[in-house]
Amino acid sequence: MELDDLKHAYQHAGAEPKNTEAIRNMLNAGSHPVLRRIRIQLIIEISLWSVFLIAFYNIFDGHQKPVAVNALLALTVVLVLIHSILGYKLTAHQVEGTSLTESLMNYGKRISRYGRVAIITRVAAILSLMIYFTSTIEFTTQKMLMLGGMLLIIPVQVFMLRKIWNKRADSIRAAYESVAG
Amino acid sequence: MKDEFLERISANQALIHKVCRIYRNTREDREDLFQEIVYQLWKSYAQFRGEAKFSTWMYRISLNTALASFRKPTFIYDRNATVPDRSDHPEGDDREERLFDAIKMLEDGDKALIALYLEDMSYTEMADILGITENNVGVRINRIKKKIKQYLTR
Repeated sequence: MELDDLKHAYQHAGAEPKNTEAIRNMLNAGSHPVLRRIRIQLIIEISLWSVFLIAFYNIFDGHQKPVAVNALLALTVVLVLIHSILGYKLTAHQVEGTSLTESLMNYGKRISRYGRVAIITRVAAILSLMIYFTSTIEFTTQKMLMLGGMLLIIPVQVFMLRKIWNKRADSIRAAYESVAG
Repeated sequence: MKDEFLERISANQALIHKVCRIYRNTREDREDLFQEIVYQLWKSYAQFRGEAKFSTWMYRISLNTALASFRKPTFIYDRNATVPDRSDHPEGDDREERLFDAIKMLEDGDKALIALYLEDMSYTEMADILGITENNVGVRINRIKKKIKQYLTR
């Protein structure tokens, strides 16, 4: 069986055609399977951080802490939210280039960059929270040891995030290499 | 613009189905990929200037989405999940089925190349879509043909 003979079979293959209305619904981000999940996650994240941003000053005695510490925490929360929104946009716009290899290469670079920023924002968020809650504490040896223990969260988070983002970037790199040959 | 886009996508949707069939193994994954492709096509439609054929442009975006989007690890090969537009000729069905089975065993990049080849695209068109040289296209097509032939004659 020659491959050229199979061209006809391939060209006439298909599936149950979808009607125009079904396709029209697919143009909305709300019906996109991955974007829908990210959007729900984003809404929850934004809501929780917004509540935190509004309430932290009163609930956690912001008036007793230095202005710079309050500002640092607020700024970090805003950065975390901006970063999450950029993640949504990254998934929504995968095509960027005039050929498949160019587009995959650009997307891989964007994912790597986004992954690096994800690690930086996560570390900044942890440090800001720790600075905020320890800014008015009088440190004893025991408290210092506890803080040291809590700081161990950072390398664990860095390790986990690096693993996740490297895996994603590697899969795009593999796809690029497979196409480029 | 939206209506014009929908009309063109509806007319060429078999192309998307074929890409989904090549790159995903279960009906659910194929449905998800179909939606992702349509969404990316719509997002990129403003950049389509008509310099290439619409189907050529569609293939580039569809393959891009299939390769770049997140894939859930699946272990089930749902061979009968998508029922193609079958002719009444049972041999034709089997031939099509076997062809897709053969394509699926290839590497992702080679799947893209053979899909374009089977659509009767020229080496120049294939090279433009993939962003590789025509020489690279020629060498790889010959290699893929051999692999598929081996699989089909097993």
